[in-house]
Amino acid sequence: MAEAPPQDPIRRAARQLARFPGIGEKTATRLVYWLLRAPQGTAAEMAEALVALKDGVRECSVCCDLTAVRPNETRCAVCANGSRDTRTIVVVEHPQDVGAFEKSGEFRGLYHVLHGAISPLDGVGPDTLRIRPLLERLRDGHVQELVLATDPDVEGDATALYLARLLAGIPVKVTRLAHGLPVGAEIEYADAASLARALENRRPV
Amino acid sequence: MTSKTDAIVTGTVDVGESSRIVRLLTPEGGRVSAIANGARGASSKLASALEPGTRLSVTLVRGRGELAYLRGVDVISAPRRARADLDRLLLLGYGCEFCAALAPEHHEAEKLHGLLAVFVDRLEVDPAPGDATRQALEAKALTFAGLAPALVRCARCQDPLVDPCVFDPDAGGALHTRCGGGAAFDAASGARLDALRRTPLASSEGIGAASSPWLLADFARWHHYGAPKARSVIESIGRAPRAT
Repeated sequence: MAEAPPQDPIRRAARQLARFPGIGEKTATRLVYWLLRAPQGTAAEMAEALVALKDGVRECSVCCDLTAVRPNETRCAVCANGSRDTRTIVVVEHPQDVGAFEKSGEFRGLYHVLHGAISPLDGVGPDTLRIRPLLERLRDGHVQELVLATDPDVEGDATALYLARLLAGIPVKVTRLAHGLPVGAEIEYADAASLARALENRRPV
Repeated sequence: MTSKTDAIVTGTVDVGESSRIVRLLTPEGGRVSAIANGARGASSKLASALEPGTRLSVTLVRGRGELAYLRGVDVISAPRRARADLDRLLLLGYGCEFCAALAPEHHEAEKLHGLLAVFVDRLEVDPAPGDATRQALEAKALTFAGLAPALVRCARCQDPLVDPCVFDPDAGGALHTRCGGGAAFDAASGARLDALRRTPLASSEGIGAASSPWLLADFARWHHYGAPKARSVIESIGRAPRAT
């Protein structure tokens, strides 16, 4: 097959889409052909939304979550909401984790987004995380509990252990989310590690 | 072709929507990478098994491609105490990375696999693992990879090492200053590292660490066996002050 010229718009678009994580060349090409079949204006709408993304989103000046740019407001909707419990902060790795907590409807406190986790095998240390702003928030002594809601994997464990060590000198209660069996699971089919953690974190009924 | 083998997870890379490439250290096949389809899915039982330091019995299926497919996984043992202690956890990551870097790809690495297994076990029971535990791992792993540096005899003149001396990876290890130049080193550190190299990991507790903490890691790097990324994390966390 003859080599396509570099300005070939199909190849060019596929190459750009393949830059997304988890999108390979085949999937990217499939998406391009879908766009070509889509109604007029679809591609333009998508392109416009993508271009507006960078300018229209910023980090909240308090919790570091990603939030839409609003006039005269540097905080996200959660931090700006006066009815939230400001004494409890849930610390999460990624902005999308905030959405998961909000969807549960169980938590009325505030968040702090680290934008990553300590990953020894990837060489990611604490310096790249939003830890300094977290310490700033604890400075006035108003916050009573910090709930470490990092993932239950090696990176999440390392991050939680590091924060617990760092915060040992600060008068704030530091807790971590319980680990164990998912709701609705059958014990017979649970993996050994989750079962062991569930047993470790058992509580009186 | 399907094969069953023991393996230790040394790392993972996420691919696609929910899959993971898992890097394994196996006794018969050295460094092996395999695709674990759906391993990141919410209902996958593989997620907890594919964490660094976990010892597994795995079934691998090889096709025509470079990567094997992970079909069956049984957990032999998983680090528990290391997951609850930051220093142990960092050492665990470092050990996995260091041994994996020295292991050949698709060739026998029984001793390196055995060493990493003992190291992971050691982290579970050692009351305070630190530089000496790590240096013992490095010294043994280098030996198993055929890279044992000279530590108690001069790499040039072969006479017993006495101060003043230096360390030069290019020359093969420690040298008298009269025999060549290199990084600062002392005979006592050489003797200590040699003792860590010769003593079984499980009984190396009382030997103590050499004063040049990353000498052997630098030696491995000089020989193009990579620079473990976990090292920079260990160093940065070691320097971090506590908040007050």
